[in-house]
Amino acid sequence: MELKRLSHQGMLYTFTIVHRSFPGVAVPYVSAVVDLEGGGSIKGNLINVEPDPAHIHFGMPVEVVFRDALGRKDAQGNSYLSYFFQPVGQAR
Amino acid sequence: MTDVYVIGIDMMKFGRFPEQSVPQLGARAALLALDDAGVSLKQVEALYCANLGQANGMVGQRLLKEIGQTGIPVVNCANACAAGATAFREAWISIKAGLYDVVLAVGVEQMGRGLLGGSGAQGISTEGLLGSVTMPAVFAEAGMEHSRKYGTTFEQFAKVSVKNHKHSTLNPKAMYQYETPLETVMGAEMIAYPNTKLMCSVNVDGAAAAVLVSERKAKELGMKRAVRVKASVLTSDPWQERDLVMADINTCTRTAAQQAYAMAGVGPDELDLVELHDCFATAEILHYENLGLCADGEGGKLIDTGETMLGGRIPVNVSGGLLSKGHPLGATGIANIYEVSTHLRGEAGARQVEGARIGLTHVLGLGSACAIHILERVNS
Repeated sequence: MELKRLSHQGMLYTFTIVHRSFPGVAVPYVSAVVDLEGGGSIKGNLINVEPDPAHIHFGMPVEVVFRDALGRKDAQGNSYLSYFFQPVGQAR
Repeated sequence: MTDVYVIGIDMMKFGRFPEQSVPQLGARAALLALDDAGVSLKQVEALYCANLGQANGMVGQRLLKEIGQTGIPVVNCANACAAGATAFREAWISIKAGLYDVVLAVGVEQMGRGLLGGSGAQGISTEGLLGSVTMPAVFAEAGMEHSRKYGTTFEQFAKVSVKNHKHSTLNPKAMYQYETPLETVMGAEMIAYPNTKLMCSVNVDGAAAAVLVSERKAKELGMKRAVRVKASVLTSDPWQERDLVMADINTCTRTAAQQAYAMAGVGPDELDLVELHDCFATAEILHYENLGLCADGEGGKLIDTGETMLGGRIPVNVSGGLLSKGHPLGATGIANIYEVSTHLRGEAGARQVEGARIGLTHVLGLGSACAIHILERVNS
């Protein structure tokens, strides 16, 4: 096993727009599977896009950005960072 | 090796029974199946019992405490939504192996309401942070993969639910018995696009049971209503590139179908009816192709043309399916076998598939486990 750095660039493979989730989870949001350039597939939220199928396209180029994990904290009060996807060409 | 026959099989009407315990529900189904077989519990040599909600709770043994502790071997079985079919298959294996002549398989579940799926994550919850792991979302993403490849539309997925709800009006044991027109299905609350609430299977309580016997025993008890198990197959999902983020529900179904058709010596064109795992409307269209009911990419067309309606070329989910009959996880695999067996026996009443001779049942447990059975009428 060796460490491998994954690309921050990828394309949208498939998605759904979640309108009902577990209690307390803010909706709607876009759950997306992204194939990264050079290999690897990851799943996450696609942000900075209308949660509407008319605005989301298979194969659209996206990039990986890092943000606070929606303010969620663990039992010890620790904050977390998470990755998100957004359409390319927006402010990182 | 002996052929294996279903000599008795039944299910309770699916619904909500909070006042009853899981073993009580299972015991009810067991007694129904034993009555149908004309067999006493004292003749049963082993019990395989499927349940997920109390998977470590010895449900099979507790079930016997309700109806008779005969001291037989009991195996409790969990395998996600394939649990019931897995219990049935273990019973089949034990008879094939020559160990027993009469074996009981029970599937039972008591469900809460609401979304299934869970992260089990430590630290913070990742639901809605790293996408969604709810079942409606997971199967929506699988459906959207099909849309990506073949252009399958929201409307085509919704038509699956229209069909299965229509079928359920003819099934007195279904949870729901009402029609849902296309605009009602598409206009229902969106859960995870393209799955609306009416395109998600119903969480219900229920139980189903089957008595399986060897050929020798079937001849002794009478073959008149016997159903021959032509194939019993169980697969798991082989490695795929996107495994870590997308459970593969397709490959294990395809390999199971190929193995089942080979074992039974029949092809998909010889099937008279199919009960497949429509946990979400999106899934049914994928499985049309996975089971070879149509060519790849033709699943949307198959629902458009009505070929999978009762009266069509290959009726699918005439019971109402998981979408309308209901989906008590551990019971579903045996309930599907009950449905096909009832048609092969010519006892399905208003929803009877005329002249049904061979049928297929399919269940898919996410994670993944796929079980397929091919069943054949004995008396023609």
